[in-house]
Amino acid sequence: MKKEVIILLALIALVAIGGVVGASYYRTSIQKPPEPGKKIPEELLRADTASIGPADAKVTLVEFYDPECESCASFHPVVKGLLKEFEGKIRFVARYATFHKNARLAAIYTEAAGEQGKYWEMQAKLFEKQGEWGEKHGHGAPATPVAPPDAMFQKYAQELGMNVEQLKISINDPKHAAKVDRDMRDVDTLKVMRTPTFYVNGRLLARLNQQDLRTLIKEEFTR
Amino acid sequence: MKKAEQSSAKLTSSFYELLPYAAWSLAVLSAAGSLFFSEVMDLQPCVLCWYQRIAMYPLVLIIGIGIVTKDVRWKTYALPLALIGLVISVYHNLVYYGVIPESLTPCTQGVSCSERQIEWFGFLTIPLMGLLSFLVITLTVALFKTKKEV
Repeated sequence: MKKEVIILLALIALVAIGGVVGASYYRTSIQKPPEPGKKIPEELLRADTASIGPADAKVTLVEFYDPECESCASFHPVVKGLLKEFEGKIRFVARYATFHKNARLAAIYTEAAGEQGKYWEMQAKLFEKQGEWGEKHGHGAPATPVAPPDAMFQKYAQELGMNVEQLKISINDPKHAAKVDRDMRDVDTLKVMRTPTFYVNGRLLARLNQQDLRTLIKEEFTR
Repeated sequence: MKKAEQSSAKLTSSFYELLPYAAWSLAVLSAAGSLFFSEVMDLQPCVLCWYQRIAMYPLVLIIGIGIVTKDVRWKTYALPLALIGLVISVYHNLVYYGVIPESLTPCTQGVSCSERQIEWFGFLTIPLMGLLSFLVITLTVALFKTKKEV
């Protein structure tokens, strides 16, 4: 091999090693456990947000999600799987980060569905049908939604057996929009940059994947 | 006397031989660093950062291939790119440090070009790193002389 090639490859290897070590160091540092006795900030855990699991659970998983986000929809089964795996021991809290165009309205509908006891059903339905009402990423993607989002959300509500008339009144209640907007302010404060973003007992999940999330949850159970 | 001249010529020659490696290493570091900021640290690049990336990334290949093939024409290709990057970087720094108001810049959507994301040692910001990188690369490339020129 030519001397020049060896030198360049050696330098690239050096930069690559530095990158890998740096990435690992950075991720560990942002995922580090909070100092003992330090409380989880109020912006992360609001009392009025939708949650599953015992309030006094040892581990609280907070997800900032966008109903219109494709990654959130793809990751949804993983979250469900983890909640099943740690059922009864973990508390799951859903927060909004409405980055997409129709997401705020979708979040308001989800909140209103919660009043009829169908929060999680509506959330799952919106993820399932996201292709019909959500903006699609990528070049050449068809324009969405195919119908006004309001009409589609009401159709989903009907399919879930909700009282649609009551829902229509409820979505105009400013408290739902206020909650979604408050979540967005918390998103700014916490510097949530992407969806889904997970926090386990206040520790930010540095890289989005099932294994890292499970490991972080297990770490918190043993801590 | 002749010996001293010979050793000085040798020194000059090795200096010129090292220049492409210096420029290339800096381009690789800058490319890797920018990817680290966006992919690991989740700091989204602003529009002006993207324009600078467009100028910086090809430098890795152009200078690298020039070194391997010993084709000194790499300088002809690399210098305009480095200069374009330098001009954008100067402009970015002027926006960043408030010399040019951001309302006059194209960054009206997405990440603001003047948003403070990193300030290492109290002064080393991302636009400043970009400026230093382009400045040194431009100087290095400009200083590089083909054997004929030497």
